[in-house]
Amino acid sequence: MNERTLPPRLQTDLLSSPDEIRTGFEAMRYICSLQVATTVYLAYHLQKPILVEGPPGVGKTELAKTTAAYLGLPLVRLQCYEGLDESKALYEWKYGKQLLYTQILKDQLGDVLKGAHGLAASVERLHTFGDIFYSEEFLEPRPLLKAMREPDGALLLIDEVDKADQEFESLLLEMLSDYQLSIPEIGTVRAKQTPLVILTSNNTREVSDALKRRCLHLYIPFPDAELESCIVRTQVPEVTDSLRQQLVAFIQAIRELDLKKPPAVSESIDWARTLLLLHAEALDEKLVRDTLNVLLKFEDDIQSVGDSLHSVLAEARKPAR
Amino acid sequence: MEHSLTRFVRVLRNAEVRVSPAETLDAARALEIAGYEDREHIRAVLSATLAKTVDEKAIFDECFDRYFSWHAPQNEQSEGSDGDEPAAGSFPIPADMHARAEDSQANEGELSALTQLLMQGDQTAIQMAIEAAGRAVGLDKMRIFTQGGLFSRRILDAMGWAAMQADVLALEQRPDDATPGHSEGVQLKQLGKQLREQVSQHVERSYLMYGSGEIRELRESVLRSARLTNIERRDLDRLRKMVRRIARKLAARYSRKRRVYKRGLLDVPRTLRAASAHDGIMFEPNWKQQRKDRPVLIAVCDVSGSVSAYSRFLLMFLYSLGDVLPRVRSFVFSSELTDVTPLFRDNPPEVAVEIARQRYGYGSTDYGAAFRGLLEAAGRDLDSGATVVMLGDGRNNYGDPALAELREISRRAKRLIWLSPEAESAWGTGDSEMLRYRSACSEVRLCQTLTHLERFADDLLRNRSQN
Repeated sequence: MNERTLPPRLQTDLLSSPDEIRTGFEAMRYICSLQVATTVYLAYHLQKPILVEGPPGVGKTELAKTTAAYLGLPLVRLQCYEGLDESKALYEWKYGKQLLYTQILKDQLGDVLKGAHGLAASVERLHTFGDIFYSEEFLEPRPLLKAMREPDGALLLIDEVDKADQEFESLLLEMLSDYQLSIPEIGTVRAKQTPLVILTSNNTREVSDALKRRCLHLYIPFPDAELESCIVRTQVPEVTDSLRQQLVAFIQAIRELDLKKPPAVSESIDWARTLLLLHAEALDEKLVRDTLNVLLKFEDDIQSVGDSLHSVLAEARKPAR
Repeated sequence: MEHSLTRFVRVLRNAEVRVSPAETLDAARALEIAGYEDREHIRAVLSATLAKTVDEKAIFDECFDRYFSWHAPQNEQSEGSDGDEPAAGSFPIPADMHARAEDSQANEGELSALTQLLMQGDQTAIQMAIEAAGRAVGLDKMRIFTQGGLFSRRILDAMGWAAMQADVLALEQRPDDATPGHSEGVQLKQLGKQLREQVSQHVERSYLMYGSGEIRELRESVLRSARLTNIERRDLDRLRKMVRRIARKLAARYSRKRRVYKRGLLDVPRTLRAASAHDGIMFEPNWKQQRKDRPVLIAVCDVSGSVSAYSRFLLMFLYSLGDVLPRVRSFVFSSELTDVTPLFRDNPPEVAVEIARQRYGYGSTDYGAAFRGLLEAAGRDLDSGATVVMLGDGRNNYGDPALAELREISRRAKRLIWLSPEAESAWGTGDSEMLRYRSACSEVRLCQTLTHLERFADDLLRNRSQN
């Protein structure tokens, strides 16, 4: 393994241990489990990308943002979609600029070629000027290349990699294992400073084994009651303790039900904010029924929770301690 | 530590977590960086580097608990020495027990090392000694359960059992000071018994972690080629898992390419659109492409008595392929045809199959009614894009074979595949109409084992949308 030097700015205590990271994240209002902190810690020290999986709304993208902010790295984001290709992810030539320059430089061409006789001699003469139009000047860096060229390193977020095609995954492999990219016209571009890479996946399809092998794998499930309560407290501190308790218990309970899309953490937070706006002190049936659409995004789900609302709510209102 | 890790990796592989050598190396490096102090840290580190799907994470947690609780003292005698000890305890490799045992035999005046160990009553140390002896005799190579006794014996021998027994005798027969010596002897005997118990437990657990994997593989290869009707109830669960695994594999293989680029055919509108950014100069040629279609699959299954076992697995198979075959319509019939698509939409495949069998599996088979029912019920889905899969033995109880209706189905659908659980030699015998039905089908396949089903699904996916 060749040792890459760590960015000088980062050789601080920020990444001295998983617990350090965890407290750091907490200060930035991102509450995470030990598993999350440990994976970030390993990703940095092993210089390996992280593949984050989990149901939508558990804070996968948020993790990348928080890590970037925590380490003071610029966040470069690449949103994946079907049909994403090299020219959108890696680099593109600035065709317009190339075109413009050829037009402008047309007149200069006469000077350059002055004295050259015949076609062969002219081409010979041109060769001495090199490939000006295919140089870095005319290169439009897309997210992947941009992250590699950040002088102090960057945090590269490749969001929803499962949405991209299989071919794109293969494209990523070179970059993720060696932190280098091949551009045919220029050569191989190595990262100035190894970027920290976070990939997220919603599991719409299985990510290939080759990609998984190169990554650390992190699965963020729905949080347990304690963690969720903690998250709601940091995100919406104005909610009273008793209401928070009930709210979390209620959400945990309906996640157990058979729903199309169980409410995620982001929905819990939204709901807490909603209840705050409504000046609710405790959960009651009418209130919950009226605000259920904040929590659930499918009519079927709202229906089925509505049916069993009474018993679930009674359970949630029981003092939990 | 490396040893501990590689063995843990073997445990994981046995439990069907795929771990590559590169990942093992990663795990070792990660542990070096993160340190071994805390059990939960180690779990987090190994989980990130070794288990890479949600299912694998669950298995991983189970294996981790089992493997690293190895040394947790389970004897009531040891008071409250829990906490971080189990994790820490599994890593250091204790001094070689052989050497100590032989050493003590040399000078007879003293008690043997094992005796001393037992007398001290340090459960962690005893477990570590068992572990070390197990490693010395190659316990992780044990393959068959009946080898248990043999391996227990070998471990005890390696630990210096003989020397300890000699100590027992010596203590019991010590002439002077009869009472305390005697009681010490009895005590030691008791401890010896406990040790034997612990060793056999160790052997059993070790077998479950290392050895059972290969037996399982053997068993699965047998199951793959066993007739689906002959599968015993206790194997059903295993078979279900296998179906799901095969389906996942197929899904992964065929979900990839959804588009075919037709190289060489210029997509003029798109190229012009892209060119408008560059003064109308066509830098970016866009080629025509074709999306692979996802055709409707209509499965029609006989769920009466003898054939129902096959239907069950076919349906389970098709619905496990949901990722690549999103539009499956399914019908079951015995005396009349019923659309069970909603049933499968609302229930997991295993449950739905059972319900369908119980609800609709009675009455004598009537293929004619089934064909007529299908023509009526499938309606517009039965068009030139649809593939119809019939599963049945074609035994029509001497009723009207309704060949005309089957031909009509075949004409309207893209393909009509008949899966028959009976071999060709049985066709046409008794009330079998297979020979006649065959003339109307695009293809008739034998479908007796899981392997047959797998091949069928493979072909189905490969052929879809090649037109």
